[in-house]
Amino acid sequence: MRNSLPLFLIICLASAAVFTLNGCAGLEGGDPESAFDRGALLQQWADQTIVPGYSNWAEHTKTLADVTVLLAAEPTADRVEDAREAFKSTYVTWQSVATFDFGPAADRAHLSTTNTFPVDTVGLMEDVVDVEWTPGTPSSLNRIGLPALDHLLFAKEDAEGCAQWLNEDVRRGQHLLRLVGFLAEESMAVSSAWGSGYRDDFVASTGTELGSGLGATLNAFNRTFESNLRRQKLGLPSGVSTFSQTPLPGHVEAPFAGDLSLQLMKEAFLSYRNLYLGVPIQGDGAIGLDDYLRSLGDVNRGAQLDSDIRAQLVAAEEALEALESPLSEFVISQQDLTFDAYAELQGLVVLWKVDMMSALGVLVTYQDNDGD
Amino acid sequence: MWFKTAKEWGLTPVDGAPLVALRLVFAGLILFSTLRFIGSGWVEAQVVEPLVAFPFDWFSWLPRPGLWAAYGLFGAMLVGAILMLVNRPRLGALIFVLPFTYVEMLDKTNYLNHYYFVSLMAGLFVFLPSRNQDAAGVPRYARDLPKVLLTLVYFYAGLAKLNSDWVLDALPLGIWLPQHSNLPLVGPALAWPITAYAFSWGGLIFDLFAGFALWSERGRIWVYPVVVVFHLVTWLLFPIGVFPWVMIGCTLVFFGASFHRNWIQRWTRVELSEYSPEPFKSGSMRWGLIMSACFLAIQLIVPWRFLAYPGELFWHEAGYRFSWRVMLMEKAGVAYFFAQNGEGREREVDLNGWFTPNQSKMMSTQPDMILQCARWIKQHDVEMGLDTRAVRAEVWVGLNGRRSQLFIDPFVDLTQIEDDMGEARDWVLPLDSVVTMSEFRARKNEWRARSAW
Repeated sequence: MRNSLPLFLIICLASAAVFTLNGCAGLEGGDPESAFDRGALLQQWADQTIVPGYSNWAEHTKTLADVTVLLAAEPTADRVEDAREAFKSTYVTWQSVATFDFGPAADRAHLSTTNTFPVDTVGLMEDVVDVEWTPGTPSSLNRIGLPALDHLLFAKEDAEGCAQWLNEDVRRGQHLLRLVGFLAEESMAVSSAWGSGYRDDFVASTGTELGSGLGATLNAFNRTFESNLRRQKLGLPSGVSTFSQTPLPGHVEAPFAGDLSLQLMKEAFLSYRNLYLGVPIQGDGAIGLDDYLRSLGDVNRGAQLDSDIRAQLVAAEEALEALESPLSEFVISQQDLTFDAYAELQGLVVLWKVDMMSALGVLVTYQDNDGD
Repeated sequence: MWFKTAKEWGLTPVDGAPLVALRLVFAGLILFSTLRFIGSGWVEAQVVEPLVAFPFDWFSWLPRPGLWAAYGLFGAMLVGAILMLVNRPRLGALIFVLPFTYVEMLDKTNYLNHYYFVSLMAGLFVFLPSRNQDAAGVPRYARDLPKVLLTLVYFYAGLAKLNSDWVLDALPLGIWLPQHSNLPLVGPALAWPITAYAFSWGGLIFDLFAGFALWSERGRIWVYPVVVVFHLVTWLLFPIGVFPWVMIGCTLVFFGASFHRNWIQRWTRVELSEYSPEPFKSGSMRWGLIMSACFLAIQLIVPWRFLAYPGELFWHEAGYRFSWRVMLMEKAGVAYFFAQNGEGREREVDLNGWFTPNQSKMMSTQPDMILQCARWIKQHDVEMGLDTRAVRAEVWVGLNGRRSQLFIDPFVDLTQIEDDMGEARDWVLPLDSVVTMSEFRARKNEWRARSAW
């Protein structure tokens, strides 16, 4: 046995070679084109949805900041209207990037600093008079971002009253500026992180582990769909989580802007639908998760699953169409319909989180795993 | 008569070098593994930070360590591993195995078969003679016990693969291998169905026979390289942690004494005693032999306990753990819990933020963890002043490429279920009872009315 080590090494190498050759020998039998090109999917996501989505979002926050400067300098009814319009379109834009809560967005906790609701109105008014206010502390996430702007810009229903309210205390306008400034800075930071470097890492990591482009996107996709869209935007306001099933109208997204909540929910839904079906924000790419599933070859967990998801998307869309604005009133007057929509969204959660994730075998953790 | 023969056979002195070598390799592996665990930030992420834990059944009384205590435990593991390296194997193994097993018992989420293997192996080293001076001679049973355990691990892992998903459908490998289609050269081949079959059948045959083949001196030269390649491939393709290295390292014990004396002399400063066999007469060695036989008997029986439970093992998972079932399932699920108060009103429980992603994944597919979760919800609700009396769950699970289906009885109070050992999990719906989401929604009210809920 003295000279056995070199012999082992040789046999090891030989076996490795045999393994590799076996793989190559099979080349004739298989269809190499059936392997889905994840790199192409990631590229389309990055270049046609995420990067343009974020830069659009950053531009909107910038516009909002500009308009707010004017408003704070001299509050008039017209300027209030301008700020409100900018605010609404900014909020709508946010829905198309909210799902990408990983990488630069996760590093900056962008989701929670932008859209933690319901807003703590009492805390927010304390912040207004706080000269040493610092944004983004973990305990004050529900006093900043879009929900805080919603409260301040719609503090009084009519624009005239709101302008007057701002005129009564300069600090109100000043705090609006501070909030908008922080929001614009953060969104710009996330947008430029994607523009410089992270995009390339994202596109290059074509595996399926948690840190890969696909793993990061799908895990965030499922998590935000389940907890931000299904639960926060719809479930909690409709009262699914209270014993008495009492609707909580104050829990809708953007409750003060009145008629915005439902539009935001539909926009958010569209962003998930489009990501699945491969409809980019900008450009002509058409690769989606539907194509990935169909490429699997297996009918049951491939093409059939895709058909089921499409059917469920239609059902969910119809259920959302049945809701009416303002949502804060609708959850009280037609609670049953909100429960229906909630159930349809839940159907999508199951199909995406269980069926799709296990068909694609995407991992949800960095932890070691010996396959259960 | 047979006992006497066994005793004579087992107590025959043999060269202890392979056992000493195994101890060195094993100590190195657990030292590396512990450092890797700490370095990955898992002490915080897996042990300290989770808000809720899913302890093993008989260990729910174990206090969960805080940050310092947790680092104390891992520090002790390092000390134990180092003591094993520096020729204090029994003390070292004891200092390692207690905190290691303690941490493993805290949360089922983190259960891995190779952690269990490490616990067993370290436990053996508390008793086996493996100091440098024991190279002079150990009873044969002591040298061969780790080999028998390794053989058993491979063989049982092979038996576990004898199921239709693995053999007939090449699952879950048919799902996992195509994920690596982005690899250079071999990538595209990993997406072919035929590759999944080749890997499944190859793995099955390997597991069934490798352990036995390693015993023969002629077979070893051919099988050990296969062992190395097999485990390297699994290491490259799956997030399986240190398991491949543990197996590659530990199976070295099958090699003869001269091989081990050779590498130890050449590459280390460890000085082994010369082999000088003397008969073992002491009572402690006899006890060791008897204890070893008991240990092996338990190891032989434990993986078969699943036979006591009707239904599909992979589905209800009663008797699944501690049985060398590795890489057998792609199982995903989502669980919605509903709490009922004294007035019979129901609300959906908002679990957002309470569990780590891995806890959610494991809990939503493993029935005993679903029960633990339900009990925790009730307890937590009561602490929060809510009048929660009962908890039910709607759970959707997909196993090995099957589409999602209802997993457990959706209208049973989970807080009332005793999940005692040996008791059938009849509240887990049978795997072939496929209830789809749409079917459930259509019949939900009917079922609710029929149940006691």
